[in-house]
Amino acid sequence: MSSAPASLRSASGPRAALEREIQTAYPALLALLRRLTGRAEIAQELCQDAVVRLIENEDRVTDVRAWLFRTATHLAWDWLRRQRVRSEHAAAHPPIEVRSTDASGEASAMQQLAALKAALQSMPEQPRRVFELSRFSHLSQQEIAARLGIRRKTVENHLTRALALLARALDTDHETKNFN
Amino acid sequence: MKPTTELLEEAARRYLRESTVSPDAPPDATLDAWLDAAPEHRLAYAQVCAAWFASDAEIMAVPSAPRRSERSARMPLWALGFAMLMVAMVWGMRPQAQAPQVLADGVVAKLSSNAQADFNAANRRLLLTRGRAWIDVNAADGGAAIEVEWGAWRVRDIGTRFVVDGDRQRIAVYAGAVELSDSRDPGKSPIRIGAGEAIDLNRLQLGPVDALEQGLDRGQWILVNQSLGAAIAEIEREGARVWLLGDIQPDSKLPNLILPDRIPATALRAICAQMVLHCRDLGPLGFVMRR
Repeated sequence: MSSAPASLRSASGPRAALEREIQTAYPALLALLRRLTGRAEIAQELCQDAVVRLIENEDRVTDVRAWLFRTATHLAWDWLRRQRVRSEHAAAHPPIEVRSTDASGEASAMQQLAALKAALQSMPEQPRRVFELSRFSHLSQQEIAARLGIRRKTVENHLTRALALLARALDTDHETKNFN
Repeated sequence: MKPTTELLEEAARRYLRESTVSPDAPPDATLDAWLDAAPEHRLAYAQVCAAWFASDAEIMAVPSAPRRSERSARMPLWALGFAMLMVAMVWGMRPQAQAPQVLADGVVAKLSSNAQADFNAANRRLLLTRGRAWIDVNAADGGAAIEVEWGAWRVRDIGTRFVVDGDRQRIAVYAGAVELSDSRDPGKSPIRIGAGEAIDLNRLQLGPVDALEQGLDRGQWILVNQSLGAAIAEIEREGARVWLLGDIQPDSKLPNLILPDRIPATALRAICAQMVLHCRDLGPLGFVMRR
């Protein structure tokens, strides 16, 4: 459809503001999901799913962009896990229906948040500090190195290890979720 | 099998390197090659991304419970505006349409944007000359009857919730019952329309409440994406209006919010027949339909 039909009208007010925020974030989100999944149509599907969930939870969302990226990357990860489970079982068993995990499920989200917080708190002081300065204060690796008086390569190593630890923590309920 | 620590660290290293590159830079072919090399690489990379975005300051530092109130305090006008918009959408009206009115004894009337109506409190009669009137009679008030007059038709409620739709020339009853009479034929017995039933006034044929009427009663709206343009055109060919919140852009990847107004059931069926849709019930927000 090249243009909106005459009987259609544009949004205004709060809804338009929300749509603008979504539109601003959408291209980068779609590109990231395309890279994560390796499939354009799945990326499109997951992006739309994230938007739908945003609308469902709109009253609880304070940062639209952060929320969209958080939800969409989780959906992509979840999709990849289900693909892997399917392929692992396909060789030995007849096709099985794997129940979709719900990335926005309140209990699951709280559990994962608790795991992430615990992982961050249990990190050694310096990797934790590096991660917080990068993720929460948005400092570059060079700025973190200058602030902490360490080499940039050390910052990179701390950051890498911290992120890998958090990724590991995120996976705590993985096996049970997929087979429930 | 879960990704190993070494693989997660490799994915984290690659992600951190990629995240420092300018968004305008061309895609990193080395990263893509690594992702394509094994499904485990892609899984580990996605897990790292998910962890990165899940651990933002807002999530990690702010307890979830107070966030709603914080948001209300920060943007009360925004929230109020949104709520008003939703109310308008819920009842299938333009945002500037008439607000729901409490007529008498708890009877609530909600009129469509194009409605013209006049309520006579003395004889408890709502004269509808144009548009749609959705009526909810509060049975707890002792069942004080209300009558809706539309053209020659008289619809008398019997403790009920119903809609008189002048545009579609239908009456649908959601709860209780109504009696329909024709002032042009006073000797004829009224037709009783029960809960879940609707009548087509052109054919005087009773049938079930259709999808649009259910939507009106439940306050539904529909979210579709722009690929449903053909379906929209079909709805319009059938003479129905489609209200859109947001522009349809030819290259837009965004879903658009569409509020159906007077969409015939046949058109809704046509959409479902043509498209593979995922439908989700969002409760008070209505249904979401996606390809």
